[in-house]
Amino acid sequence: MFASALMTPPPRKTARTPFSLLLPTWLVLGIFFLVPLVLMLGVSFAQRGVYGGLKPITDVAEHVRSGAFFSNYARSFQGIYLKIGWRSLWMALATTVLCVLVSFPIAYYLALLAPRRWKGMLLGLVVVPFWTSFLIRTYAWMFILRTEGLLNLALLGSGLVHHPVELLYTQTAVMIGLVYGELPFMILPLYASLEKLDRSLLEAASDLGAGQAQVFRRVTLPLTLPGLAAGAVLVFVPSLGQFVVSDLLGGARSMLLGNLIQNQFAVARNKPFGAALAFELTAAVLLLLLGYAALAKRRGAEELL
Amino acid sequence: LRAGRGLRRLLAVHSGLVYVFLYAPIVILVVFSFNAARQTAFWQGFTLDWYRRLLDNDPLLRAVRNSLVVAGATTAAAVALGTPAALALARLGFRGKRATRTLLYLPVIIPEVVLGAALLTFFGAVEMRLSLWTVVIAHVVFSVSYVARWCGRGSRGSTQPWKRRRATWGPAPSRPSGGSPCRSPCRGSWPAPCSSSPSRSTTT
Repeated sequence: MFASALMTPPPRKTARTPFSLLLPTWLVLGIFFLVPLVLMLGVSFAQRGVYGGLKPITDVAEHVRSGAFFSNYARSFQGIYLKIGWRSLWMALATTVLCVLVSFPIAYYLALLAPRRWKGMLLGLVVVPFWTSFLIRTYAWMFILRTEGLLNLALLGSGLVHHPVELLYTQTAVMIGLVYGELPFMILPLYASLEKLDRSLLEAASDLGAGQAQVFRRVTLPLTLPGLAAGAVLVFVPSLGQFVVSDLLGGARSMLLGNLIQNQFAVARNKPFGAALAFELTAAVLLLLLGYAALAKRRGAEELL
Repeated sequence: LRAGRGLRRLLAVHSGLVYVFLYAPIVILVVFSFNAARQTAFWQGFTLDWYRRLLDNDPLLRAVRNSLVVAGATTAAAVALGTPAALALARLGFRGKRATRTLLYLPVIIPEVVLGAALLTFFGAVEMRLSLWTVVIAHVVFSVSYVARWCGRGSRGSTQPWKRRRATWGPAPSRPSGGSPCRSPCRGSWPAPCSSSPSRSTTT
């Protein structure tokens, strides 16, 4: 993406590049972003040394010919790693779907039904929780979901269950945490889309005899697809790389790609393998976003930025 | 608008429940910080003891100081470095503008864990010891993107209803259609788009 943007000819009416203004940003991102990424790409083709460092490559041609340069990538598509990859994909997808289901009604209410006086405040209230640290809010969920936590107390107290339900350190807990964290990123674009909806179209449809369900299915939904698509990308992409939520709320069986990468760097000390995994994740994210950009261009979907 | 009374009420109730979902963890956390019990979720009386202990807990206080240092240094550096670029992007048309924009998208869309891993590799390679300052550098990398992208423009994305007002620095030149993709109508464009920690910072 970066390369293609570099190669596209600049627009006709251009002035001289204001180097003095841009240089600080370019330098920061060049030195501390692009260089590290390139470095890591290089590392991903290497192999782990004895003490967690890199195994020196004596013969580059041999390294390539023997297929050793690709071994990390090959390994990531095997056994447990493949399983974790699928799980990440599946969890991100489920998070997205759940977010849509929860967000659509509230976005609809906020955009079309809520009393005008309250609208601004209600919308603001969606955003406010996200001013507190994500980490702390996730810890709060640990407190709620523990075996002797609040939710279990409530469930036992109400007589719905007779034994505490194991919630924390399960995939359910991770799912709750993910949905909790990503919800506003779905509500806000949906709201924006619904807000722009021409209400007279809805009235026209119902005047012409469409039932409520039909109006929704044939007018409201198609017109809010851009917001839906934007929200889906905004929720899916970060969910795919998530590692804090699964680290705190998940157990061994809910490890995600993000945790796996973190593990390779912090615990297993296999940087090359971690680097390869990181690049696969990045590639997946970039492909998705490029696909979305292409779609947005063709169909006029919401731009994400 | 013709929505049945029942449906309207149902949606209102649903919205209320969503707000409960969003706020319950925060409220519970605050309420139980005053709970005398150490472990359980049972309420065993009001106490300020935990706060007193907090003030006596040196490692914790040091952590608070570290957070403040990282947040302050990151904000200062990101604003200082990114504002000139924001100005250029908002006001000028120039060669390399699209490339600059794309470059600015990347740190924001790339998963944090990847950015962290890449920087760890880099710091290892240049033999820079990990410290608070390497943490600051990592934060500056994506914060500078936010500063440069958002501080120069007020209204662009139609996904940002609260940003309809014209940009402080005058209308920005129109963007080529269908620009590069990126996450975030909301990430980082919240009421204070220039602040350094758009919600996801896990260090502070």
